[in-house]
Amino acid sequence: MSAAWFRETFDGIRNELGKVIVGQDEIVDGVLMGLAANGHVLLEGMPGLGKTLLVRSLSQVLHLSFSRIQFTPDLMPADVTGTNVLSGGQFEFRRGPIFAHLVLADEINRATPKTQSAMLEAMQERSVTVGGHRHTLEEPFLVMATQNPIEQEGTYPLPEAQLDRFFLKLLVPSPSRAELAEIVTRTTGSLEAELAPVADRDAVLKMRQVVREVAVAEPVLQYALSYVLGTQPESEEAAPVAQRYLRYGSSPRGAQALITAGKIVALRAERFNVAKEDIKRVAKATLRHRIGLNFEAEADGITPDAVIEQLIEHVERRDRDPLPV
Amino acid sequence: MLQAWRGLARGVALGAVLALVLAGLDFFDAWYTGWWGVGAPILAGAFVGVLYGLTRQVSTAALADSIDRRAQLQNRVATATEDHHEQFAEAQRADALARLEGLKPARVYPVKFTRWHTGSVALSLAAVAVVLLGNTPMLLSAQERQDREELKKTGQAIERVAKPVLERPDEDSTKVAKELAQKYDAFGKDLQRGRMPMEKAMEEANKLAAEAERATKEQADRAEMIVSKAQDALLREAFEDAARESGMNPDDLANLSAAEMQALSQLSESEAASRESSLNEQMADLAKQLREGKNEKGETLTQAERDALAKEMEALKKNLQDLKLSQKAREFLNRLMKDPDYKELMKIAQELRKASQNAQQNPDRPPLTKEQIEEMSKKLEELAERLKNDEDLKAFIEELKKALKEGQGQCDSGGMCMGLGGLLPMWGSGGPGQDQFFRDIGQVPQNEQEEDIQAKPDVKAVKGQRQETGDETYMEIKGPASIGDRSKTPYFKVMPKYRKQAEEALNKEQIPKEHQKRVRDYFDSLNRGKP
Repeated sequence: MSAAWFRETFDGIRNELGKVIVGQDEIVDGVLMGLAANGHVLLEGMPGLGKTLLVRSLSQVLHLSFSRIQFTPDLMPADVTGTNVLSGGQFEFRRGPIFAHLVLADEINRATPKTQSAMLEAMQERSVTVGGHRHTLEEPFLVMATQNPIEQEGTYPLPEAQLDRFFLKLLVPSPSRAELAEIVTRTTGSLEAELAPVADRDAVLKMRQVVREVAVAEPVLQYALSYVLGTQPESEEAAPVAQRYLRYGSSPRGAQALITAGKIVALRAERFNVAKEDIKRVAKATLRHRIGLNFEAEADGITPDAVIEQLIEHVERRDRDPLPV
Repeated sequence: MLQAWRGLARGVALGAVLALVLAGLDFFDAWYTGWWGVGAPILAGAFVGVLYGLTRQVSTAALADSIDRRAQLQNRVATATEDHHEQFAEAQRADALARLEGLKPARVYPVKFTRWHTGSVALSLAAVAVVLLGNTPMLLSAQERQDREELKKTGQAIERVAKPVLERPDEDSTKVAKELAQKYDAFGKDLQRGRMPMEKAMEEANKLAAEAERATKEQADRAEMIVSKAQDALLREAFEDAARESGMNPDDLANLSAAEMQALSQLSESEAASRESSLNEQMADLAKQLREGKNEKGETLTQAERDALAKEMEALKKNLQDLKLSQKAREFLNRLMKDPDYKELMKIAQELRKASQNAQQNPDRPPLTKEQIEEMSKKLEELAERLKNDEDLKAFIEELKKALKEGQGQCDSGGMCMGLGGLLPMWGSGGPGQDQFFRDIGQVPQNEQEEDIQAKPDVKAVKGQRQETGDETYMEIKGPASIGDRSKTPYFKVMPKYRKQAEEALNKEQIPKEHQKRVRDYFDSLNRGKP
């Protein structure tokens, strides 16, 4: 078990997924990162961009169970977690779709806050409690929730506290011309790619263990903390952009996510230590859903990613060589 | 070494800033900065900077972080230097070491010419440029250039004069003379820089002249006091001898003035006898009046008249007592007055006193010439040789000689004996073609009586054509000259005569055409003061 093994496994899964997923490298990497880091992923993008295909394919490649929940306003918590039903004179717990290794929570913002809350509680606790009985969810457990950025009518945007529970938020881009052409060719032709399992549940759990063994130097830790503190408008270290455009900044979970994601990036580079470049690379994915834009930002058309870009510049400026010559 | 390189740049930059400030002050004449004023701060800054760089402690963490950045090692070294206990810690250290092995320090820390270095060079050059700019004659007007040249020449002359006094051993000159010479030396150096405005140079010169005058007066007073002491001691010795022989109180003799002694010594035997007889008669007459209580007219005396007569009686008794000096005493005094040693000493004392008075009355004139002082010194030595038996007198004479020597020390360099103040008259007299003079000029009082005419300094620059070669700027001299005797005749008594002579000269074209207007202006300006 080493960095090389991690990379091989990671790349193996990635390459296998590449057989059916065209492009979307960042999304694939992000999902695998969430899997390796034991963190859930929020995907934001238009419908039809292969999100369901990605999760289903991942379950095939890893030989894990998969379920998909389409969130609607009338979806009840029990529809997600499961419920006790009377069977043979006794109540029997019937598991809901949450009981899977990989769960796709499609359009999670369409469900009522009550249902969202039940879902997010299960995500956080890795268990559900029904009828006084606690039912543990089997590891690995990864939820990939999706949101449609366009349709806001009749939706229930996730509250900040709930968003914070997602390890990463990935923006699913529309495919490029070349990718689109490949998608069309693959899906309309006679050849259909078959996915083979390249890793299993144990491998995923091992990957999570390996991630924890990566060291983080003090300067790198401080660098990561500068990002988190830089997003907090009331902090002394707040970046000017945060003071101007943010209502609130990242929670400590943001720092945890930065470091953990940085470790995975380091391992993929066959490194045993996190570098500042790793932190910088995952800053957007880990922080964009943890900062709240204020009215001025909305009015100026500022996006969270634009804020984070300026934050990166701010932190880079302040991060100087201690021995400049 | 890189820290030293960095420190060097910063030190030089800071030193150059200071040098630039000094150069700026020099440029605006607020402070004189030579090349040392530019070089010293820069060199000092460089030294301190290098020293700081060499002694500065760098932490391992900072060094590791710096290496990571420079060699793009992605924080491998920083992580390896920390104490980690993760499973990959050993592998991580090995990885970091492997990366470091291939590194060359010169590549990680190349010797670069940073912004600090560029800045330090630029600032140094700026400081040099400002000093050059301030000293280049190109930016000066013709007048200023000429002023500078003049000041330089005068400065060199002053330094030439002050230098021998400074180089002389301490025992050969007084502290005051040395201090004065030092001031003149510094003043000469300032003048040689050619950066002092003419007016300021004159102010300084006047101050130093006043100081020199003061010193000269003090010197003369001291010499006079020493002469007086020597004279007193010599007389005291003689009187004691005379008193022993005549049986008189030596204090009575000592209280006699030189004139009284002279008169006394010349008193003849018969005159003394006649005077004694007269005094006795007067005393008998007074005694009679007192005894009978009546005056010459037979009137009864009042108490006040009695007291007056008693007093008169006492005075007569004293006179009689004085007359009763023995013949030996008179002979002694006579011998003393004729004694060549005593005469010589009196002569020296007289000359010194005269010189001292002269110095006080006319500070521009030397009280004694060098030759005079040498001669007096020689005579004193001879006198001291002859008076070997008298230790006290010899000591006084030695002191007198020393005083003369000190006076001489201020006279020899430059041939003028009014101390270093004597240097001032040489200002502006540097040779032919010299066009600037520094003199006292101003209003002349119209006094009818003969007295010293004092003038208030009022210097002004006048531009005009003085030589056939073209325009030239010079200082107009109007008023009594500071060299030579002061005039005691009001100028308006002689002015008509001089004016007439000048007009005749102008008419006969004895005065060059380009100078004729100046001559007219001169007499016109003198006329302004007359009602």
